[in-house]
Amino acid sequence: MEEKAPTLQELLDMEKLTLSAKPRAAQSSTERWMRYLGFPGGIALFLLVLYLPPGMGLSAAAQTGTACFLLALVWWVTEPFPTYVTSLALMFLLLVTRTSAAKPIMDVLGMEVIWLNLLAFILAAMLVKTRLAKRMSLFLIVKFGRKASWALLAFVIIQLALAPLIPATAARCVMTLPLMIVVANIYGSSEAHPNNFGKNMFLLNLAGISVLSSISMTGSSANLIAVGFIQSMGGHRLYYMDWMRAGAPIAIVTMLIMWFLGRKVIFPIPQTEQVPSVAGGLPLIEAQHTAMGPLSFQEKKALVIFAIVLFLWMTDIFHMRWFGVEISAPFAALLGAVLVLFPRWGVLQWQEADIPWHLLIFSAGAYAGGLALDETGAAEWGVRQLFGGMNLKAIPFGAAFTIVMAVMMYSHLLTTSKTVRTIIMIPIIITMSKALGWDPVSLALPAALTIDWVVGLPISGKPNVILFSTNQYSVIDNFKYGMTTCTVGLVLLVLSAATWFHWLGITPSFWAMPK
Amino acid sequence: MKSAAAALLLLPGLAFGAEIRDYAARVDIEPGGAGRGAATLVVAGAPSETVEIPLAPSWSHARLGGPSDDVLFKAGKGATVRVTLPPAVRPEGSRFTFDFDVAAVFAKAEDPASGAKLTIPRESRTLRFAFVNSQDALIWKFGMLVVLPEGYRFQAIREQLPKPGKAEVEPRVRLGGDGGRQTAFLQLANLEQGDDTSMQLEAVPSTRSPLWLAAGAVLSLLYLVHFRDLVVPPPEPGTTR
Repeated sequence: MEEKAPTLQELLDMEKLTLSAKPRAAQSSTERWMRYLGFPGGIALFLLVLYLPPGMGLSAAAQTGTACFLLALVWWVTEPFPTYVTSLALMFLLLVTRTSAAKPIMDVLGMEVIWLNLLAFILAAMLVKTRLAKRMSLFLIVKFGRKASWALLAFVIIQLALAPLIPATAARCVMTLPLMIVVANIYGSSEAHPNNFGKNMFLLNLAGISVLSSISMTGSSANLIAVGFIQSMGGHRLYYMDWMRAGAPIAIVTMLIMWFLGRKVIFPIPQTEQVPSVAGGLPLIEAQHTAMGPLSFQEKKALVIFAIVLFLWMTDIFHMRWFGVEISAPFAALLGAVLVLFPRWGVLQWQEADIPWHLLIFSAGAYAGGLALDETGAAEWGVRQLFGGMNLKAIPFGAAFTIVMAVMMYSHLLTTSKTVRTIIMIPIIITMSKALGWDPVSLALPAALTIDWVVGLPISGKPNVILFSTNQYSVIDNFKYGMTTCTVGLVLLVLSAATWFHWLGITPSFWAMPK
Repeated sequence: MKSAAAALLLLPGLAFGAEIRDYAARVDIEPGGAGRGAATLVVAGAPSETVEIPLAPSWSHARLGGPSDDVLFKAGKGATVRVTLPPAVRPEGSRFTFDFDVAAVFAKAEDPASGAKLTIPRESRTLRFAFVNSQDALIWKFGMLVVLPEGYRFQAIREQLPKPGKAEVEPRVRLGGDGGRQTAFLQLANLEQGDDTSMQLEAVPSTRSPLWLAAGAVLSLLYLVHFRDLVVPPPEPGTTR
C-alpha cells in the first residue's frame, strides 16, 4: 500500500522538523557492509598506526593522536554508531592514550564555535516559532519554485548574498536550514524519503556556504589569519580587493558549474521531482502564502532581533571604535538569544528552543581530535614529509602550483578545523615559495582561497555536520559531491594561474622554472 | 651623526664588542640519566679580547676539545667559560669546540608521598634544559641538540620557551633522529644578555604495551559476532520474516 503524501500543512509544520539524533538508516548493501566492517576497520587502522615503528620526527603522543583520529575518521564515515558516540569515544581515547590531558579535551565544549552553534540554533528556533521561516520559504517557492532548477539557483543567490554579511558559516547554515528543509519537503524530499532534489538542495547549499566564504578576505576568520601570515612572513600586504579579484570569480563560477553538474550528472533530478510534489501544487502554495496575511507582531519582533544580530555580525570591524570593545560573532548571537528568551518581551521559551546537543557533542569531539593533531605536531610533520618528498625545484611553476593547490584543497579531508589547517599549511607554503624563488603571494594567496572549501565529508566543517543531520544524503553522496566541487575549483585555480592570476600579477609565467 | 652610529650598531659585522655568532651544542644522554656534551662556537671580537661564554646550569667540567682555532680557553667564574681571541682576528670569527659533562637531567618520576597521586607514569622520564645568556656578548644563533639513550622516545614536548614569534617558521623545539636515537633540537636566535630559552620533554620506553592489540582484537571479534544482523537486508515492504 502506498503511503499517503503529506499535505502542505504537514510540510509547513516546521516545529516538528527537528534535527534528528537518530542515526540515518543504511540504504544500500554497500552502506550496510561499511557499517558492519567500519568498526573493526577503524580499530585495525588504529592498531596499525599505533604499532608502526616510531617516526623520528614524531612524538609518541603525535603517533597515538594520529591513530585515534584515523579510528574516529573511519567510524564517522562508516557510521557503526552515531557520529556523536564516535566523538565521545575519541575524547576518551585521546585521554587514555596520553595524547592530550583532560583539561584541553574538556575545554573544547567551551570553544567559541560551539557557543556560536548553540546560540545560532536558538535564533533559528525563533525564525521557526514566529513563522517567519515559513513565510520566507513560501515566498521563495512562489517566486522561484516553479522549477527545481530555479529553486536551487535561488539558494545559491541567497548564500552569495549572505556570505559577505555573516562570516560565521555555522550561523549562515542554521539561519537558512529551515528554508532548505521546507523547500526540500515541498519537492518531495524528507528524512524518511530522501530524493535527488533533496541531495542537490542540501549539498549545493553546503558548497555555497563554504565555497562562497572565499569570495572576500573577511569571509571567515581563517582567511584573515592567512592574510596575516602573507603579510608577516611573505612581506606582502593584501588588500580586500586583491583577494576579491582573485577569489570571487573562482567561487562564483564553481557554484554555477555545481548547480548544473549536480542536477544533471551527479544526482540527476527526474521529471517527477522537477515540480513541487505537494497535493494542490503551486496554486495551493500561493494561496497559503496569501493566507498568512501581513507580518504579525511576533514576526516583526523576530525580524528586529535578527536585524540587530546581523548588524553586529556585519559591523564587527567598527565595534572597537564605537563601543570600545569588540562584540564577536558568538556574543552578538548571545545578545540575540537574550532578547529572544526575554520574559514577556521575547518570542521564545527555553523549552521551545530546539538545541541539537548531539551535534555540539559531535563538533566537540571533532575539534578535540583536530586540536590534538595540531598540538602534538602530527599535522605539521605530515605536511612537511609530504612536501619534503617532492622535488619541486625540478618542475615549472605551473606544475608546482598544481601540486600545492591539490594538497591544500584535499587536505581538508584530514582536518576538522579551517583555522588549524591555515596555521599549519600557509607558513609552510610561504617558506617553500621563498626556497623555490617564487614570490610567496604566487602560491600563498591561491592556497588561501581554498581554505574555506571544506566540503568533502560530513566532519569537515560545522555546516557539514548540521546539514548531514537532516539525514537526506549519505557520506558517500557528500564525498562524491564534495570531491567534484573541489576538483572543479582546483581546475579553475590552475586555469587561473595560467591566465587570470598571471594578468593580475599574482603568478609568474605558468612554465617558468625556479631560479 | 646619530643615525650613522645607529647604523653601525645595526650592522652586526661592524658592531662593537664581542659576539657569539654561532653556539651549537649537542648533549648525549646516558641511560643512567647523566650525559656528555660538546659545543662548537664561533666568536668574533677585538684582537686578544677575552669573552665570557655562558653555559647551561646543568653543564660542568668544560674543557677544550675537537679542532679549534687559536683561542685561549679556561674555566670562567660560575657557569661560564672564558676564551681569549687570538691577536690576529679572523673576520668570520674564531671557531672552537669544548666538551662538558651534564648532570642527571633525565629524571625518573619521583615517588610521591604515600597517598599522593603520580603526575606521570612510573616508566616515564622528564628531561629539562634551560639556557640563559648571562653574559653581555650577543648570541646570534643558539641551538642545542639533545640525544635520547636507545630504547626511549619522546612522549611529548611539555614546554618550549619562548613561544615562536609570528615571523618565525621553525618551531622552538623540533624532534628528529640520529643513528636510530631520537633527538630534540632547541633553537633561538639573537639572545641578548638576560634572554633565555628552555624545553621540557617527557620520554617513555619505545616499545608499546601489547594490551592495545589484545583489547582491539577482542572488541572487533565481539562486534563482528554480535552485529551480524547489520548486513542482513531489510525486509521488502509487505513481507513478513
